[in-house]
Amino acid sequence: MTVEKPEVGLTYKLVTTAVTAGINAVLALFAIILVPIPGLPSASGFWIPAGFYFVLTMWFGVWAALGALIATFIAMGYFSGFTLHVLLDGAMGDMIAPMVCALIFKKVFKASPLLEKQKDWVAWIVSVPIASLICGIWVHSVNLAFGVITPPFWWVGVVAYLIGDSLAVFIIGTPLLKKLTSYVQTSPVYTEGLY
Amino acid sequence: MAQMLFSTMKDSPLYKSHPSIKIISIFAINLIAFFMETPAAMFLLFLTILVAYPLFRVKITILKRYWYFIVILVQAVSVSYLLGSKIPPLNPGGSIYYQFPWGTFISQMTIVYAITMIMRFVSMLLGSTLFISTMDEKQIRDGFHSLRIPFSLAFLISLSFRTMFLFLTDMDKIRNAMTLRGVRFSSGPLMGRINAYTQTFIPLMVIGLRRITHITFALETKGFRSGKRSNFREQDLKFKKRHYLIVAIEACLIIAAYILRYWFGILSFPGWPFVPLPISELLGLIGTYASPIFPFSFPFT
Repeated sequence: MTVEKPEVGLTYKLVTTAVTAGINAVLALFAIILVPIPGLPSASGFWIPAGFYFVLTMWFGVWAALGALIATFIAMGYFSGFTLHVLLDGAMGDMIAPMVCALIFKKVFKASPLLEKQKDWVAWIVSVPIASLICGIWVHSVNLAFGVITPPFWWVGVVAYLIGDSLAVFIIGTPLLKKLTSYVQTSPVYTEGLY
Repeated sequence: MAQMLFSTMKDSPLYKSHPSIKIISIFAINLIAFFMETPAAMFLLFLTILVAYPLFRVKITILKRYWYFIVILVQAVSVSYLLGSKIPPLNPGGSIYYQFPWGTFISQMTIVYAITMIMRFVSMLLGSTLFISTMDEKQIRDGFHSLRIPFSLAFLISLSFRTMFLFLTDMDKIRNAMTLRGVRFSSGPLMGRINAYTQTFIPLMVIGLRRITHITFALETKGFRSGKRSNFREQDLKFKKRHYLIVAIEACLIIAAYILRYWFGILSFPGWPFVPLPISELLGLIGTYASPIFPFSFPFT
């Protein structure tokens, strides 16, 4: 007998976004303070919140990714100002990154976040760096367009983003995904798809 | 951290002012600082923000909490501009202090520009802090809502700030519990410390997930989606003449900063070659830097 999940209301989704934003905003501030990157204001060599929002997006889809956007806008805004630049740059980047990862993981590989089969592990190991690279390029191209960084630091930024995000996701995100997915799947707000 | 982010200055006259005005002012200060480049104008803005602190009775001592933020900003900007810029001296015959093998150099203007950029970021930080420190979560919600942002979205932003505080408290509790059980967070090998921190994230996430359910139930019980709100006094949030005047002044300042920078060039820094970049130029620049590493050629180079 299969038990149908109750339909999740907007309140549930909004709270998911807000809690994701709250958790990630603090972690983002910690990351900027603990592992700053020379030459790049408000960047971090070990982006701790990535480990959370990648996993949360796997579980809750776009609602968690939206939380990542708000979190980064709050945290980065403190350092670089609450401007359009910060919104387009880190905030949008941190929303796109987990969505790209979830898209590759769920739609291309059709893998399960339980990480039980070899295919799931391959999907996870491949999708995280691809998502981080795409968003590293996005973030630092925006930085360059706004004149916040100088051209030689474009590559420093892209590589730092790729390494910083991927490392954080693998070190923090993997145990979370492995140990908590079966628990989260019992939650009504858990989503199989992207939204 | 919690004290830094959530110590509301209730003695300040700004605390009682309209929350929407404070939100608009945060964006206005950041935009003006973003448009400005000239050192003198930036210094004036920086000074104005500093003077505003005692003027609005916001304790200037709270800035002590931000010293580490400022150190990070100073190092980031200094490294970026001293190692990676080509800002020519003001006069054609002016001296270049040091030329790097990769083609960038340090001139007198590089140092002036780096200092100006530091002032820009510090002004943004202090300007935002001035207003955020005089707001609580309720004001954030009311401020956004009275700017015609849907209540759900305004509440979401306010709840994000609230959960930041809750999350910090949870993290402290978990860390203390783990320390009592013998886990060491500040000593031992690096991998051990990373592992210890990673272990705190699992209970933290479980608490976070439970909190989602609890908050949702609490909101639904209080009729969050019903439309009637007992603690939301809309009449207090109506704009009066003085509010419109403040918004108009801020809008004029933003427009003036934009025009003076991009049309007349009065607020732009002489010799800075990278701002703003047209999209074609930007793609070409990225292609130039990316092509030695990627094996395929970029169509826009």
